[in-house]
Amino acid sequence: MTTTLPDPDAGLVERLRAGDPLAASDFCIAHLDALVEQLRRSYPTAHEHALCEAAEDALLAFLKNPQAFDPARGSVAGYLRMAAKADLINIQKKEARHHRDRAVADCVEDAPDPRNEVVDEADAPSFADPGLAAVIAGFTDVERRFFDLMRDGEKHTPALAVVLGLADAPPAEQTTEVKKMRDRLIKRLQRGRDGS
Amino acid sequence: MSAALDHLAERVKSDPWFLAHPLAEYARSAGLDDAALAERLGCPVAGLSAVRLCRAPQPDTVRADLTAVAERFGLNLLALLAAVQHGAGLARLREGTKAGADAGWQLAARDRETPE
Repeated sequence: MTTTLPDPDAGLVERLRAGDPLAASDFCIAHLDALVEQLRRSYPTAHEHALCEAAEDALLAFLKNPQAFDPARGSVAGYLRMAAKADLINIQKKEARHHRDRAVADCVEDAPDPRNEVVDEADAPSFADPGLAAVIAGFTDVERRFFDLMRDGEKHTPALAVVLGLADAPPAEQTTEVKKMRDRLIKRLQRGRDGS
Repeated sequence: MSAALDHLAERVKSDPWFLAHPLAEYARSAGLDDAALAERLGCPVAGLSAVRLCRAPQPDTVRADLTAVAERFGLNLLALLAAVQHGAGLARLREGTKAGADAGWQLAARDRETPE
């Protein structure tokens, strides 16, 4: 008894499941361009590389495991669309996370030198994230002053060491303690961001 | 062939599931660019992506699988067989070298743990 699938791709899926060496190529040719185009229409603001990556990921997952597709629950095209959309959302989340990491690092490590650069408010890194705001609110006075200096772009160790009460300490000690404080604050901010 | 398909075919060069993998190994070792590889296999360059996106042959059906690919895309079967076997051999060698190196590290670590 043969199984009848209400899908024009049924034959292609059967060939994939049977291990036909040509089926993967035929499947990609049949679906990849259409899938990218559908994603582009659904997510017009998404980056082109993200659209392609999501469509490719969905296709590759299908090719490697066609058994996961249940024809009783819908068409191959619909299955791929759903999978690609989920992949695209994951890619966008990953990218957003990456941008937030960069924003935190930019805030506390590479803040522009205020003496020769004016930062547009709209472009300035934001600490509106509730997780970050909570961490900042929990800073001690010393930590807060140290953090404010870092945000203002202060990179000179002696100036930062003053906040730590180490104005008269040897340079080596100043360097060590300033680095320790900077690393500690960055780590706490990153944890606050990740926990939000 | 579309840009998206070309991109995918490029991406799967590192995936042993696809025919792209042994073909890439072979082309690299023989110093062939796409045009030269296509000429060697007997197909137009524009057809290479479709060939690459085929599944790699299964160990027990290599000849039958590659015959099907060659017939579909009008390739020279002997050239395809030679390229895939050469490429797959290189890939196995690389894996073996890596596994050997890993084993070497384990042996070195074990030696260090051995009391004198």
